[in-house]
Amino acid sequence: MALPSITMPTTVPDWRAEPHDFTVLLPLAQVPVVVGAPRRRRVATSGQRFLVVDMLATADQAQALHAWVEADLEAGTLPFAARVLADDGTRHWWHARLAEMPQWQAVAGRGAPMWQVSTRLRLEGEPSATAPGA
Amino acid sequence: MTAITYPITLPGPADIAVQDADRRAMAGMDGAAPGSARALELDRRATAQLRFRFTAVQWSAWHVWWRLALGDGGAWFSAPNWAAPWGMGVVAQFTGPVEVAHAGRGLRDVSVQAELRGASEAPARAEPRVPLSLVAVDSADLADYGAELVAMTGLVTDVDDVWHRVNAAGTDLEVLGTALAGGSPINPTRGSLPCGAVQFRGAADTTGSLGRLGIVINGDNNTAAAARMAAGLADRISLVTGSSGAGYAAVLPWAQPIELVHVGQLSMGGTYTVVDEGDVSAAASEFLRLTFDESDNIVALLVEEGPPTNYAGTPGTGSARMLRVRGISGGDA
Repeated sequence: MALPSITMPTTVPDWRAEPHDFTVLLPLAQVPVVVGAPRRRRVATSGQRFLVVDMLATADQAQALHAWVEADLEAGTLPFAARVLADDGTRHWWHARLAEMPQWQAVAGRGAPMWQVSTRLRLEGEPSATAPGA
Repeated sequence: MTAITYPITLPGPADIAVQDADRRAMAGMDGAAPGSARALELDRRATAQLRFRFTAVQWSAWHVWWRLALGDGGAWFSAPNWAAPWGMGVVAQFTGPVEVAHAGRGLRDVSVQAELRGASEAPARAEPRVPLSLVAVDSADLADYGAELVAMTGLVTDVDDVWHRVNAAGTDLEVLGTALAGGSPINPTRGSLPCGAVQFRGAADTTGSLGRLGIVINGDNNTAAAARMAAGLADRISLVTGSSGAGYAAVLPWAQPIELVHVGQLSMGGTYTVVDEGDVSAAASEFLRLTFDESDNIVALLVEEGPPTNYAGTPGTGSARMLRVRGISGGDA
């Protein structure tokens, strides 16, 4: 699956994936038929998964990310190419949607507050080691 | 945009967690079918869990603001100095109950849920609503809340009958006076008798004839106070004018003990003359002289001014208004 052309702001850090907090979804569904019991049919070409992610952002980064979600993603409705930092430190690009709108938790620190941003991504297809268009 | 702003003298949230509202219609996000979403609302919206940490005095002041300015927490307000994910400033409305927990050392943790709106637009930085240095609540509110008065920009309140005001640095409250004598403000003396409410009258019983009233505190003498009023210069100038509108009540703290108070219409043409009984009429350029005993140690005035009426007291004409001035004692000097 081709990655979406919309990418995260370059000033924003990668999403950090919680290694144990993801859900793999079945690309199968119980499809009703005209006669007889519903039968399981494939409804998607590839498996999908929910992934719990977060990032620690400075005030400026949070502001950029918030504006990007509102403007580029049109209030979170469009898919985008997500940069996700896996548990082993490798960066993957995913076809992603925001399954939940982000939650922003202020974190006390020196100077301007930082923000712990957490959300759940809905990932499709397979991860890519290269950015879209690269 | 809301004209109510969060008091600059009170600390903002010590902790804030913002959840952007989901303004999307979603389909197939359970994983089976390809997902899709479309936007339903244009205006940005979020919910927030707020936690404040207050001293006892700050909590009392915050609670009075919550009750009076927000109408028991119901109104929208601007908080230009709160940090939010989209930058500084929010427009907010409290949506949940206020939960107060003692945090030790006299501190209180106050938790409340709020709805945030309008991130795309900077909140209005409202000018102080009143030209007086302190506020002013409606007379009806005063009746409801007794001695608890609040100022939006400079704040006076009482905690266990001890009056506090904003300190010079604007960072905290300081004690204004000790316990009130008998729990009540003190009536001044007019001539030789205790003075209650006094009616001020315009030059004629016609619409809007009574102008703005001014208060001169501790003027040198009648002549000096009259000169200031004639020039339109008073220590405090009333909010009320014209033929309609509400009255107000305000607390006016003063740095030195108050012993002499003059009240009169500003900028009258004739020779200002003190009148010690009955109405105070602008037709004869009269003004009011009130005194407090030095031993009362009056540290602030409680001023209540009624809405515009006519001479007979019927609302809406603007040729007369009732005014009452009392003193708040600072205890033994």
